Amino acid sequence: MRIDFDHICLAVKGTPLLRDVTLSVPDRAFVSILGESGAGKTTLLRVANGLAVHDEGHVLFDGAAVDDLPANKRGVSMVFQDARLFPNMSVLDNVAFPLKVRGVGKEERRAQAQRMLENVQLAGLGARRTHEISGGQRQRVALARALVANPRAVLMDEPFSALDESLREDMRALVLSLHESLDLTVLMVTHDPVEAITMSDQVVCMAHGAIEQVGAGADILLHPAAESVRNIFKDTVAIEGCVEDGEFRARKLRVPATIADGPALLVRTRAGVTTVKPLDERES
Amino acid sequence: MCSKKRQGQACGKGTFWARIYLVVHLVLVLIPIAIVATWSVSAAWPWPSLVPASLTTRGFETVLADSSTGLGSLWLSIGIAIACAAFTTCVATLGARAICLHTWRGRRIFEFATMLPFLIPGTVFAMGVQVAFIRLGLARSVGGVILAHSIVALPYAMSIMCDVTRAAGRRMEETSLTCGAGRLSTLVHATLPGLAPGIASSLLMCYILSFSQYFLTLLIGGGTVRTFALVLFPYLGGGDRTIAGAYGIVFIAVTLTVFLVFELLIHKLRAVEEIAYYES
Amino acid sequence: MSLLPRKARSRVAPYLLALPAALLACVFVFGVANGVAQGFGIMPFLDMHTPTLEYYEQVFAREDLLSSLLYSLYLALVSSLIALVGGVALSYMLVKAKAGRVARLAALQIPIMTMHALVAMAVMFAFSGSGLAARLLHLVGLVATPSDFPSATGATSGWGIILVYIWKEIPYLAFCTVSLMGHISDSLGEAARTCGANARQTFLQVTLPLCAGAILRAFLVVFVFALGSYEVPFLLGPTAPKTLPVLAFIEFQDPDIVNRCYSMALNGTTTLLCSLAAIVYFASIALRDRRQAGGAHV
Repeated sequence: MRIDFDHICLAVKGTPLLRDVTLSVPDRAFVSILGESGAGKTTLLRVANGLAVHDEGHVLFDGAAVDDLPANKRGVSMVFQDARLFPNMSVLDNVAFPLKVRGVGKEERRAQAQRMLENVQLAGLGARRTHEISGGQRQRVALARALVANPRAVLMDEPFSALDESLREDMRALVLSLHESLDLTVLMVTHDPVEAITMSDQVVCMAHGAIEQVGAGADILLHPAAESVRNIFKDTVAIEGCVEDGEFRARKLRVPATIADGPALLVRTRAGVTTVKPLDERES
Repeated sequence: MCSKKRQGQACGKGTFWARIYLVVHLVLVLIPIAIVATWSVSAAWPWPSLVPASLTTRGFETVLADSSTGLGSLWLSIGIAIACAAFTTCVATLGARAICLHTWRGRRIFEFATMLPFLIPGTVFAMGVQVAFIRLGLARSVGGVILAHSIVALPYAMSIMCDVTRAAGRRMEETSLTCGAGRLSTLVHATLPGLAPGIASSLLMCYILSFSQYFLTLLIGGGTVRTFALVLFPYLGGGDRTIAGAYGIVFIAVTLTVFLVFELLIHKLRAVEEIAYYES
Repeated sequence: MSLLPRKARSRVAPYLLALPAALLACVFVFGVANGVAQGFGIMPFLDMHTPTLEYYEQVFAREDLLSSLLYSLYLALVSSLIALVGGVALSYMLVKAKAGRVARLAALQIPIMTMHALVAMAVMFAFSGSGLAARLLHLVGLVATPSDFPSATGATSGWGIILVYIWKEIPYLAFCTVSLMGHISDSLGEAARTCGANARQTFLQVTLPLCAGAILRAFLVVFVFALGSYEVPFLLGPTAPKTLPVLAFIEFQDPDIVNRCYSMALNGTTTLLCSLAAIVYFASIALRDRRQAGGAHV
């Protein structure tokens, strides 16, 4: 499903949170929204699913305006930063909840929920209570819950920021594989630039409620259009990948490279200089 | 209220009808008070007229007269209520800390014991304890009355303080101690500000409870401690509606004033801590 | 450098903190126990030390005991159940209407601040034979004289008493649950909406189950209060049946002090009924603690 934001404006108590935001999220794309705190990323997400109401502009799903549609009827699910599992239900019932509210029968919805739990590699945990599982497992249950009812799109609000680094890697891989296998449209808010440029088909950089740049990961990396985009990389970053056919590849990141094929490391210094070096297998 | 149709989701039908419900509720709340207020100033209100025939201030003159049944009893009641509120809130703050921030044997029993006055009526307690209070010299004394009020107010204060203590946790204290602050400094600058909204809420609740007590004060005070509620009650049975109404309005007015003072206090203090009510 | 003093201090700390409240609770338990003992004829200051069932026998031999007991239960149950439904509804409406501070205060605190006896007086002013309601009905010709109006004072159905209780207890119950409901509605309510749940589904399947413990405990408090209340049934109750506390107090004031035992036997009956409520309350807290031990606060 394509999501279009058409000149969205939103102000709260006089403070503008979104200034004339226009953006198109293509069908089945994985789009990240990147920016500092207060840039308006989460607000834009909440406008998409109806939890926040904009003052001007339109939100369109596949070309049809959904501004008057309430949040629970938009068919767009969300993964929150703090999981927000329902403590009064078991893990399985949490995942089955979106099906329950759509009137799916008990046997059927439990079976579907169980399948989704298998998709997120939590097959045996259905009977547990929400406080009995770890943070990483909770986020995966939240993911399963967001996917179980075949949503038209999935919104994610910094879904990995509460997890530690090794868990984050696993989760990123999981989300990407689900994105592939389920043909989802994903809109994800993150403040981690490496995450954004390696996972997304498109990266949207926001600052102070407005969009500064939209482009593939490589464009953000190599051709930042604004100071705020340049400053998104706080430190030197190093991304592992490999070079094939004159291109450095790390997940979805594609950067032209002149070195020979093989494992490589892309390094971007704080000053903004990007180089691709070969990575010796023995050193990694 | 919302004007734009776009605001449909945030300010929709549901919110509108909810507000209508609240307006109806508010009207139902204010009607009895309005009736009492009208009677408090009516000199003659014969059947079947809908408004008083003539007005008078004699009701308020009697109630606010400088006597033991007028202002005297009012000041006594206010004093007792403030003492009860302060005492009970202190006790409850300490007790809530014991329940919420420590694990120890007997914690569950203790928690339950402090909730008992919720679950056994005050009338039973009053009739049962009267003899003992007489023999201990606590009956017919202001101290005894304050003690008795505090006992029945305890569960209300404890449940309020447990909520805030649990929510505040040890975070601020631990931070303060690691900054090098002493115990007293931590108490004043870290612990108490975090508990402040709960403390104000508890003080208010205990005050209202004590000020409203009739039966307990009657039995323990033995007629010697003449609180405002005690003076007011006999008028409620019938007879002089003007004086009864006047007592009622003064009661409500005094309680409302105390309440507004506390509310301003709570409002200023609530900005301090964002209370997390659950974790998932 | 011994850790012992610090460890010892931290072990003793909770007991010291709990001491004042424990003392108050002890006085309460002592008072109630004393009363119950008196019901069994144990009055040490009168040199009566042997427990006896004779006072309870006298109590149960009363012809009006059953009707008093049932009347007390009826008034308490009806008013608390109405308060339960009304209180949850009011709490829900306050959250849904996004009621501001002032609205919440006016809606909840004004009734909480008003003495039960005053509300009884207001009911009398409004619904007695010559009350405002009767006068309004007179205006439209439905009532000719004050004696034609079904007065709330002394009505055997106790509708005036129930009216007083629900005017006070609906806001009190709402007060006990509105903060919790608001917090759940904010975060878990949003999560439920993104799952596709409408308002009713969110309320019934997420909000209500999570508030259930707090609601139950508030209900029990309201129920016990109505059961043991003296002022309101005294002012508005019928000549017969009288509620148990009113009966007990009448006997209590008897000049013959031994009659106290009889009065306390009546109180003992009330206490027994309330103990059942206490057991349910205790079970509810135990359940909450068990869940909390795992990390979820219900």
